[in-house]
This record gives sequence, C-alpha cells and structure tokens, in this order.
Amino acid sequence: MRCGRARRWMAAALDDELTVRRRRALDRHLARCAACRDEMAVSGRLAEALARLPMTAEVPAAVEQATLRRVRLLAADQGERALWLRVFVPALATAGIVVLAVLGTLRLPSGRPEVRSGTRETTAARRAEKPVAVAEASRTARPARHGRPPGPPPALAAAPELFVDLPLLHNMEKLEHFDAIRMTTLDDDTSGDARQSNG
Amino acid sequence: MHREPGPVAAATPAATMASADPDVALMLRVQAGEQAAFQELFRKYSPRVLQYVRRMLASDARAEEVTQDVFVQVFRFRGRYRPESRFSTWVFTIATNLCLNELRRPERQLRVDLWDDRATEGRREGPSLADPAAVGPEEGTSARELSERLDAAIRQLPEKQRAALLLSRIDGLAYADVASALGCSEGAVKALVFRATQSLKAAVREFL
Amino acid sequence: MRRVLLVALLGLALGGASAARGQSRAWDQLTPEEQWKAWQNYQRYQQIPEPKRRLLDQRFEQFRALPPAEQQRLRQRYEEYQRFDPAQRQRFEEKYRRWKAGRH
Repeated sequence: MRCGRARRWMAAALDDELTVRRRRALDRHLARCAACRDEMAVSGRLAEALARLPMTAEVPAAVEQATLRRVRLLAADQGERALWLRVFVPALATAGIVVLAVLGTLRLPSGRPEVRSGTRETTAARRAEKPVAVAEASRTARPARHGRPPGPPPALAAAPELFVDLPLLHNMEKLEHFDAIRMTTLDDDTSGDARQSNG
Repeated sequence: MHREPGPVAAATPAATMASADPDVALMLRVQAGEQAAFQELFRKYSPRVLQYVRRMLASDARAEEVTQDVFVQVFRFRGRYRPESRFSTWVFTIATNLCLNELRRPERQLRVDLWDDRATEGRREGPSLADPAAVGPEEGTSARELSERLDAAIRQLPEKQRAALLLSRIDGLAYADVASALGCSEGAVKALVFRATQSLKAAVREFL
Repeated sequence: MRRVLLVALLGLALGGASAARGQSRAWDQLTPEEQWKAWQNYQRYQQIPEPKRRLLDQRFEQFRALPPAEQQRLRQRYEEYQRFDPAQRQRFEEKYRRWKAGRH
C-alpha cells in the first residue's frame, strides 16, 4: 500500500468505518511507515480536538422570543388566509346575494296596496338598513392585517423607506460614481473595465 | 466518535417512526398546528443550530438572525417534512442552505460594513484568537488555545468543506445525512471532509 | 422659446419633486417583506454611532430629492452591485479605494 492511499483510509479507520480487510492492510503499512504512523497519530489528535469543540451555544432569550413571535404571526397569516378562503368568501358571496335581493325589492312598483303603512315603512326602513348592515358586517369580517411585524416605533414609522433602502444609502457614493469607479485602473490592469466598457 | 445512525428506512408508518424517534413525534404535532411542540423542538435544536451557523458565518449577530430564519422556515414548510428522514437532517439542511445563501450574498459585506462603525467595535465576532506570536508548543498550548486555533482554521475553509466538516465531525451527522444536507453524494462528502481535515492539520499541526 | 423652456423646466422640477414626494410610502404601504427588512435594518441602525446615522439620514434626504429616473438608476446599479461575485466585488472595492484616493 502506498502512503497516499493509507492517508485517505485514516479518516475511515478513525471512524471505525474501514472494512476488516482494509484495516489490516492499513495496519501493515503503519507498522513499516513511520511517517504514516505520525500522520495517523496527528489525525487521531485532530479528531479528538474537533470532538472537544462545543457543539452547542447558548441561545439568547430574545432570539427565542423573536422566533416564536414570527412564527405566531406566520401561523395567524396562514390561518387567516385559509379562513378567508373557507369562510369569508362564501360569506361575502351570500352577503352579495342578499344585497342584490334587497335592492331588487326596493325597486318594486309603488302601486302595490299597503296593508299597514307603518309596518311597510318600518319594513322598508329595516330593509334599507340591512344592506348597510351587511356591508359593514362584511367590512368588519375582513381579517385585520397579519403576517407583518409588530407596529413600528415612531422613528421607523416616520421614514420606513429609509430603512428599507439602508444598504443602498450606505453605498450611495459608490453607486453615484459607479461608472467612474469601474473605469478606474489598478496597477495590475491589463484589460481592465475601462477597455472592456469602451470595447 | 459517536455518530448518528444513517437515514431511517423508508416506507415506515409515521406513527411507528414517531414512537421510535421523539423528534418525529414532535414534528407531526407541529404539522397538526401545535405551537407548543414547535417551541419544544426549538429549545432542543436551536443551541446546536446556532453554534453551527455561527461557525459557518463567523458572525455572532448574523448567526442569531439566521438561526431565527431557520426555525421560521421549519415552521413555514412544516407540511413538507417527511417522517422518513431524521428531523436533525432536515433542520441542518435548511440551516446549511440559508448559510450558503448568506455567504454568497454580496450584501453580507454591507451588513458587515454597517457594523464596522459600531460603538462596540471592541467586541470581536466569534471566539477570540490567541496571538500567534505568543503561543507555541514549547509554552504548553492549552486545550482552549487549540480550540481557538481550530475555530479560526475552520473559518478559513471553503464553504462546502466547512459545512461538511462541521456537520460530520462536530454535529455527528452520518455521511449520508450530510450528503442530503449538502445536496451531493456521500463520496463527495468524504472528499470534502478529507480536504478539510488536511487543511486543518496543516493549520494546527504544531499544536496537536 | 426661452420662456417655453423655462416653463418646461419648472414643470419638470415641480413634477420631479412631487413625484419624489409621492414615492415616499407610509409603513402600511410596504409589503410584509419590506417591513421585516426595514425592522432588521432599523435594529442595525440603532447600533450605528450618531455621526454615521446623521450621514445616512442626509443621504436619505438626498436620495428622496432625486428625480424618480435617477432613483431608479441608482437602484439598478445597486442590483448590479449585488450581483457581483466575490472576485468582482473585491476588484470593485479596490477601484473604489483608488478612485476615492484620487479625488483628494
């Protein structure tokens, strides 16, 4: 066995993943090759050192809270969307039908004999209120916004686009003089952006 | 070293797998909408994920944000989790993808730039490094200094080697699971780990 | 002719200014993704020292005052800048340092 192969098999040997036959072949090589014996020892110590590296880190409470908050908003948003499709769309459709029916009733000819005028007026008034009430109900039934972060502090609310564009603003000088910067030649420029942009 | 066993066999009923693997049971409860189960999974895995992401990104601040993103993704795509695969594989796959995306984004440089002017500039990202000039084997390098050297050397590895090494050698994932997380073959994972360990040996040999 | 040009320029200036003002959106007008991004950047902003914050505030006002076409041009350049691979990025940063040194 050559040293190159022996060194490739060392990792597997340390993980006990080498077949018996290969392990014996490796052991025979190590018995005669001092360099590979050293290498095996170093590999072993490296594996131990890596295994001693901490596997976990302390998670700040703020990280957990922020994650759970985002997940709650996400769940609400997903639930609201599902609810909207399952409940509110049919409800709106029903409300729409009711509104149309009421409007159709209001357009009936005025020659219809009155049974009790007070009742008719009251009924008409109630029916007139109904479309508004239904419309209001559908408005209030519309889900409030979810899936968004909590309300912003005043500084953020005052200039939200400042914060959306913050990385762009940070690099504004570069962006304003983008072409001039790209045309700048460096000492090792052989082709350079200047020639490329002119070519 | 202890390594997690390989991928769980396919075609096993979810209920059976849930009884065999408590994480699968938790994840099934998360799929059913139980947020308490999600919190339990978070508390169990976030310390490992945070440490992994910290080492991948070499940035404490960004690591905390990406760790949040990992678990939000776990929740967002909970419907896609299949009990046939180990939850740890799934969560580290998500973490690895987010880390690789993060490392490849030029905007990451912007975020680092934004931190340059912080008032707390004295606070260094990641573990503090020993002064190379002051440390030598003749002075009896401590285990802590070796760990710091190793952490520094790990940060210098190319991304995929770093991920393969961390997942297999520190987080103890089986090569098949690492392959799944990285989207490559087991052979490729072994090659990545081999190259990574060769680089680490060269970097810390004198301290071993 | 000169009068026509002046009126046209004035109209453009007013139109540009009002368009620029019109482009400033309120918090509720941002998409959820933009709101999350704004929150994250706000938290970073909080940790920046005061002088740097003032500089960013000034740049924001300058940016807002630009005509929409110019704002769009800067956004497109920023997108191109984001698409640089690490080698291109490094080269650009070196050129930026060289360019900046040549200005002073």
